[in-house]
Amino acid sequence: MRRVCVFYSKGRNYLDVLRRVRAEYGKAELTAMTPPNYRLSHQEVAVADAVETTERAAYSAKDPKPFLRLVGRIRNARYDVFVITFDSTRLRILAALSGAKQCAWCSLDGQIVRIRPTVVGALASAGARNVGGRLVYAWLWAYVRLAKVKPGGASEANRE
Amino acid sequence: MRLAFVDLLFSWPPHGGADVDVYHTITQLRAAGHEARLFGAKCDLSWERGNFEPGKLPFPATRLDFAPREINRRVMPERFRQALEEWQPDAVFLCDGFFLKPYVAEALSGWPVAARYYAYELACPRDFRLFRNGARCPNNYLETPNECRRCALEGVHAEEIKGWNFHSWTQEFMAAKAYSPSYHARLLRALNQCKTVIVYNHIQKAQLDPFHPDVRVVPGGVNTDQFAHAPMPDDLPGRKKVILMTGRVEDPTKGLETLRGAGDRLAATRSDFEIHATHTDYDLSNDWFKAIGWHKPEAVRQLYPKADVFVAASTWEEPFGMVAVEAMASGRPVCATRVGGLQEIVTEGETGFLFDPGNAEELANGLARLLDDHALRSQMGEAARRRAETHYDWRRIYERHYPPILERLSS
Repeated sequence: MRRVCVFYSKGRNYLDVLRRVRAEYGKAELTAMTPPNYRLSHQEVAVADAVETTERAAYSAKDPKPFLRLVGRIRNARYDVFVITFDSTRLRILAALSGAKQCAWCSLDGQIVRIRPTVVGALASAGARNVGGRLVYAWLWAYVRLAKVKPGGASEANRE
Repeated sequence: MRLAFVDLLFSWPPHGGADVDVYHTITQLRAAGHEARLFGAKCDLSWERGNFEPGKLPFPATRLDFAPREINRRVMPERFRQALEEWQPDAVFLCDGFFLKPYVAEALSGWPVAARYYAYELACPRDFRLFRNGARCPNNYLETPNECRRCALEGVHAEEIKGWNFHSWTQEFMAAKAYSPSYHARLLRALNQCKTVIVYNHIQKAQLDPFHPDVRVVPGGVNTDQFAHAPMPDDLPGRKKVILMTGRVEDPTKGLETLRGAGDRLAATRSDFEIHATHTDYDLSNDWFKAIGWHKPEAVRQLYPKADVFVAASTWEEPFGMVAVEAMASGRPVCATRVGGLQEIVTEGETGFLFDPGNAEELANGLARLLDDHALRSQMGEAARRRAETHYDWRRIYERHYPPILERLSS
């Protein structure tokens, strides 16, 4: 039997995600992995076969040990599928490190989208976005200071 | 009349009060014999935009699907214009949207347009809240565009731009070039092209009055039939009276900390109450505070009859305050802050008490009066229900506000 882990993230309706994953993976053993301050509803418990509580609700790069323990725990569990609820850099890195044979994210419109995350890929993508984004921001920062709205400037829009 | 509702963000189930407002306004207009159709926008990468199935709505709807790169100031307005060209409405209600709304308004200027604004998006391009450093911001983008452009860029948009990872608000900020000087002129021009402007409260109206001759306050509402008008629970020995707070209470601007501060003060002298809040951090719970988790709207409706008092403690100028109206429709007195739409919903001393934002002492005093006096709770709860029925039932809202709006649109 396939073993599927659904990693909780704040901001999504976890019950809806669990139901979508259950619909996708049928009779697989489904583990809900939630933070310590999250209490699963009866409906969520009914959908999941097992519940794993993580050590923390949030992890920080400044204190990597809890994150490494989380990774170790996920890898030791040897899940076949690791599902994340947002397609973010941090969750992609976690998925890449999970050791699962297959990774997926439950998209915002409820699709289970297969992903092949790598740590290098996730970091490179985030790095490229950051460099480009910071350049654009620097340009905008100067622009809003130098280009001012003039009183009675309705004609500006007409010139566009 | 044949009425098109254009909404750049509509989702159903709703993501917020704007979706609820659009849904019920269309429903009421159709019940009154008008032909009304929703035109919404969907973008796959955005949870905020267009999560609805047209076939599952109880009214006709068209969903325009956009690729992320098509959420821009040319494609989006043009697609809406084409869709309306095919349907040929008599008038258009331009509903929720962010910075692309002026472009859409211009594209639809061939029809009489009523523009609906649900928050302070015209006054505050930072985060539409007009709230900075814990207090109401005195600026108004329409009057102080240069200060507001800087504030917007350096505020909530900065991190998303630097990381090049946008939510809809920043996505539209960039797509509309809302940072540019010309955007201000375009916004004013688009506003002027609208026949009427509809807002939630009188603060919004005061901001817009100098820029448009016809700004109308139309509140949101509820279906009072859906709310059980249950009698106030009896003061039985040992029963803890329930003070309820619903909504997105995790949001710091909703004022849960003020309510907890009031709870602290009450707990110092009494133990006959419990505060229930729809918070998902169960670790917050203690002897007198219970985090009861997130509830679906239909489940929230079941919470009000079990409560004795309702609290809406928002610290920002909450444009409306749907949860307060829901509690009133269930016959519960409401303690609310003197902000935005909330102070217009609650009648001081009649349907509840008002207190200053962040003032836990004043809230505790109001709550103590209500907890001590069953008759006062019942009397205010009855008055609250009557006010909900007469002012905030969707049918009454339609009858009171929409005939003159439609008359203006058809004039």
